[in-house]
Amino acid sequence: MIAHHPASVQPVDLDLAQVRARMERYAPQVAELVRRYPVRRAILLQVLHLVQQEFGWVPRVAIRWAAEVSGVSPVHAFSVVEFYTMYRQVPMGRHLIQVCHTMCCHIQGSEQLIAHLERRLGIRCGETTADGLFSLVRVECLALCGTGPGVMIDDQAIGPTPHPLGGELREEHLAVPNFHPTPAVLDAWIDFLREQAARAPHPGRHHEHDALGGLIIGSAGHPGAEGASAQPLPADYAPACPAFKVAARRDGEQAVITWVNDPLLTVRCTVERSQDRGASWQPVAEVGGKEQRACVAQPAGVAAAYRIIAHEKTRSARPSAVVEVPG
Amino acid sequence: MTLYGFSQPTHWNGQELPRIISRLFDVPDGHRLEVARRHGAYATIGPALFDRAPYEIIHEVAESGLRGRGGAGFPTGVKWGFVPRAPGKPVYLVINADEGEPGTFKDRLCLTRDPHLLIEGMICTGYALGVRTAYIYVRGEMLPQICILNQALREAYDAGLLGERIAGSRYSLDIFVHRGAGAYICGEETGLINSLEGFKGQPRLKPPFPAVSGAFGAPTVVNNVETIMAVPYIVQHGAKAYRRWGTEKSPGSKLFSVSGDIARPGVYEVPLGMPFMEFFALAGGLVGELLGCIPGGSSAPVLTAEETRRATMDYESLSSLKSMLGSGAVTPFNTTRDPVLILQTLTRFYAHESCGQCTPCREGTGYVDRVLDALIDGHGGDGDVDLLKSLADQYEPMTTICAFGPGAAWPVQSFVSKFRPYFEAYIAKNPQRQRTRDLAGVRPGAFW
Repeated sequence: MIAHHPASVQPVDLDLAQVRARMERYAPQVAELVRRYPVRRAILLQVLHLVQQEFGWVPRVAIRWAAEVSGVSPVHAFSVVEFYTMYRQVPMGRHLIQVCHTMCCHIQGSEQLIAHLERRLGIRCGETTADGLFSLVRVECLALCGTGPGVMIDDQAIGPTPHPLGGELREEHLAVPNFHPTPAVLDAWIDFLREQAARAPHPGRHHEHDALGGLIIGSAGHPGAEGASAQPLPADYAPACPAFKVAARRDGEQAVITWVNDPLLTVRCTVERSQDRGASWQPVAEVGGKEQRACVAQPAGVAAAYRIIAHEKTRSARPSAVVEVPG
Repeated sequence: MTLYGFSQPTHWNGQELPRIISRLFDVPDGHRLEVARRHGAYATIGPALFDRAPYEIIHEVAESGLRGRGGAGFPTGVKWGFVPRAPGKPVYLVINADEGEPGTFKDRLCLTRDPHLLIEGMICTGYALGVRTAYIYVRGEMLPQICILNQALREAYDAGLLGERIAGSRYSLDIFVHRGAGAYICGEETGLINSLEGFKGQPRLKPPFPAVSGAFGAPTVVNNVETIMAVPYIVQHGAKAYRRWGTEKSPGSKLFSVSGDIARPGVYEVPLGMPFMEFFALAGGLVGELLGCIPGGSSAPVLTAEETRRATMDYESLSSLKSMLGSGAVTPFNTTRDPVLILQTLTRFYAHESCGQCTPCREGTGYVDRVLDALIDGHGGDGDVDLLKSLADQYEPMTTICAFGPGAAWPVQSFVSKFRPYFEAYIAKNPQRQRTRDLAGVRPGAFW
């Protein structure tokens, strides 16, 4: 068992310069992350994932490095590490087995499964095996309730076919008919991982996969961010909003026209009338942008067609649909 | 039919079942752009969208009656309407894929099977709100789903569906994936925004609401994955077509994730307003005799068997039963289960996930959990059931910044009032129950 208090497990020979050197290989990812947010501090959570990818846990001195690249104070970065459960502040075994014990998984037998794993690995929850290969923890809901009890080994939800994290995901990795992690399934996983560890006793890095799941490098970024090429949206990226849902009815000697226009951008609307089947249009009323309703005189026996033109501050929309009011 | 599989029948009781969100769920390789396009993905991205004014889209979504599918059920069109148009600041769209409500697993399936529908919905939404940069906040544990999303985003960029001047229009959008780090509270919209900004995911006081001042101090809309996935259908077919499904006040369809004592657990897309018992039959039938059912994720007050039999799956029926539709996670349990132990898993969950910001919730959830633990361990005293209720009553009525407090209290209040004999049976086993309860039997908490 190697679970310790964070203060007692900090490697004495790891200093900030060494962390910087080891994290050098993530420079493209860090530059990409900086491009993506309007403020630099927003990259902190992502950078901490990279730290955990490199070390397998988050040493205190690496928190200083994460704070440095995110431009925040070390104590702020530390408070963030403390808050989120996924950042491990003590070294974990090579493989982390997480078992969900919340409502649905409890109903589906998570306690029996945990008891089985504890027997099988010879440790209790929260501990690491003596060979440093497995850590077992209980966790709250993993959103695997339909295939409970939910179990994750490292970053994979347990299914019959492992996802090639970072590799190409094909159909057989995604289609999982009627699968539940049983003790037998987990035994097979444990045997497989033990065998793999016997072949490669010292993995180069803790996790070989990308902690940010195939981050797209070379994006345009956020307009104005450091190194970004994206431009802000022009104010007229879309056409002006015309009036729509236009309806009209006759009310005695009047025609009542109602419509919907953008209540925030439309400053006024012109109601136009045509008495020659749309060949020519004359403005008959002008109303404010919030009214969305107009009454105009229309003598009995005279038919007419109406349309609305909505105006924004600097531009006008295309005419609305035409409605007819019979004579 | 399980997590990544989806084999919902096309018809049920002679009625066609909607396939608005789940259209590609059972199509092999539906997560690849070419396959998705063959099945009609990105049909809206073109003149159908870019010739319309943004407000027309907002109005259409408001008319459709689409409500937020993440839990609170707030009308989406109304939420979008709060965003200032042409504000002189950037507007952000943040997709909430921080799925963590016990019982809910629909978003994981959505991201796995049809990431392109989400991207298409984000383009429609982003266009309507004037968004230049959008983020998808994915729960940290869902790394395979982040891989799938990044692959889908890369395909969309390569096809010119994202980036500068989408499909020849004047609209540009970039979408970035943000990996969370394991905190249930980040599913609360202001907590999510704080987490996106690189802070602890503690919720913010409202007002100001995110639609006015959210991420990075700019107007922000936070929507659930499923909500945004319904948008392309509404843009393409109109509000009226969407209203063909569901009830007057709860239009459309919804994904329900069902687990617990049910023959075929999984995700199903059904019209809102379906009776619960009919839904259970669709999902293969109940296992054993129904004792109770949690109708909308762990925060929703539990229903007794009798209430479940008359309830229908929509917002108004459940709120008349003083429960809620929530995230659409249905968990029936049968008479072989002990409601006390089920509640224990929930109080443990809420005590663990309380963000620690507000005293009533931080202290109350832990206190309730410890009292319940002591009760189950045989140290229960005579007044403990009322104690549980009175504790929950103190963090229920919005004495906290966010809705976590009420969400944590409702299961306690409802389990205690509806299954009281089960709790009293535990207390009856303690021969010393009449003594003033010895606090030595209560596990010490972090703040004691």
